[in-house]
Amino acid sequence: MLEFIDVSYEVSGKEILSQLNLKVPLGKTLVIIGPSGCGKSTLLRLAMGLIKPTAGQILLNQQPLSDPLSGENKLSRGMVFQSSALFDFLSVYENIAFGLQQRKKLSPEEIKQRVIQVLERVGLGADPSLLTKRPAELSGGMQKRVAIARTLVMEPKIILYDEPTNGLDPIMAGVITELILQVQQSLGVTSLVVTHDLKIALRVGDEIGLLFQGKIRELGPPSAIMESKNPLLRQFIAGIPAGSLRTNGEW
Amino acid sequence: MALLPTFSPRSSRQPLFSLIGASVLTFFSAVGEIFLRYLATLRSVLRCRLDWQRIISEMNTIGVNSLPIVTVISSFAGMVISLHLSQMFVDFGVSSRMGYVLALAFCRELGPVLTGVVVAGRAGSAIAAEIGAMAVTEQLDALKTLATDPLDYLFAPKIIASSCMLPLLIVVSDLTGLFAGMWLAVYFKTITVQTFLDSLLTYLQPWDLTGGIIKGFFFGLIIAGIGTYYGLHTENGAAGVGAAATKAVVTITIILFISNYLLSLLLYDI
Repeated sequence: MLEFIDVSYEVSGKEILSQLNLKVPLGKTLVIIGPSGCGKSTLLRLAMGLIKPTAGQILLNQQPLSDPLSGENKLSRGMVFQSSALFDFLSVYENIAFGLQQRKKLSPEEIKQRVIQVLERVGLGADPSLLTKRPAELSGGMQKRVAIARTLVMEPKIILYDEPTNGLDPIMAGVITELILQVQQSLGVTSLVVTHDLKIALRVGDEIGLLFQGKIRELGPPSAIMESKNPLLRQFIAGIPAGSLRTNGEW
Repeated sequence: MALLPTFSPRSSRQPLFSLIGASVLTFFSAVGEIFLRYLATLRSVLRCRLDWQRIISEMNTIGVNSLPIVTVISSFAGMVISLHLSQMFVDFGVSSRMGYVLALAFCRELGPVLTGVVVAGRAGSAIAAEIGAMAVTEQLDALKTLATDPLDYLFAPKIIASSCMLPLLIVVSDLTGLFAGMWLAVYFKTITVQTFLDSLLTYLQPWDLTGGIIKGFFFGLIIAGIGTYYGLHTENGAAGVGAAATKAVVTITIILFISNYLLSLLLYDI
């Protein structure tokens, strides 16, 4: 279980997260929704260990979260970035194989097999010419799938998705949504997804939480979220500009 | 608003002092950060955690790819100095010292500085732009999520490659500049090859060449260290990447000239 206990995070005196408490149960998918600039990506970066909380603690299976570069649970988490963050100086194959090559525990042949398997899992196994292409030669949807493949190849127990459908057309957004669902169901990984896309939230989330002003304001299964009378949630779902949720990023 | 002038002398000084204070703090924090990165690189070397393929690739990018421009610039610098000096030396009847003076100028100062400035323009800006682009597109964070330390994978190879290749490039620059200068002196100014070489070999000390090579090592550290610093502190997307590259080149060039002066004082008995 990934657990946030009274976690606060400040940048230059500005509080992004404030005594936030959250639990992500093993094998489940928790989706965090909220308006732009409310700290969703910060939450993921904390869960990944890329930044440290200014107060509180984050536990992974009752153990303090380690730095992503060291410690026992460093490879237990993987992250799919909003921008895909593929290494533009490497080919698709090199991008996916990168983590395995750096660990130096598998032979080149074993790495190749793992890369091909994972490409098939994300639906890119049919085109062998893809392996030698650079990320810039791929569409946004393909880049996102390669980014998911790069994360999956490391066999993490927890996958963190930052706005996975952002900037994609509705069909490709649907493909990515189904992929996240399929990965969760077939591998049983724990997933933490942050998004402002309600469609993906309702499709993949076992639970959905609304983040606003540094705290989780509502948390529950998708059906309960849709029926909630919480005015913040109603405003977010209906997409009404007037209300307590401001959309200019100033909280 | 705080920077607008007011009538109170006390309050008008405060923004100036805070501006100076902030600049001093920024400067020392940058210097500290760069030195910590050098130490971390040294630690990576001692722990053998380096990616040698990356180092060789960086040596190619920083060193081998800079070779043509270093050669061309050094040749013409050697020729233009020879053009001015050789006629003067012939007129004053000291043409027997021509080779020595040109060699001294090249080995001690011109070779290191010309090479440093050329590599700063080529590689310093490229380092800042590459790391800056990786920073703004979350690629540095992606490296960490794959349990790869950007220091071992990106920064240390650049710092090592730059500090190894600069001395070699300086030797090439010295040789090219001297050869071009000698060619001009012999061809146009009736100084014989024998006279030129005799004066060079008689008076030039090994330390003159070694000092220049030592300067190259420090210049390599400066170029990669400052390039990496500006790359890591890139903000505001593509515009920020361009700005980081420009700032890196300007800062490296200034620091190169200052450190060249200080190193000359330290290395040579002047």
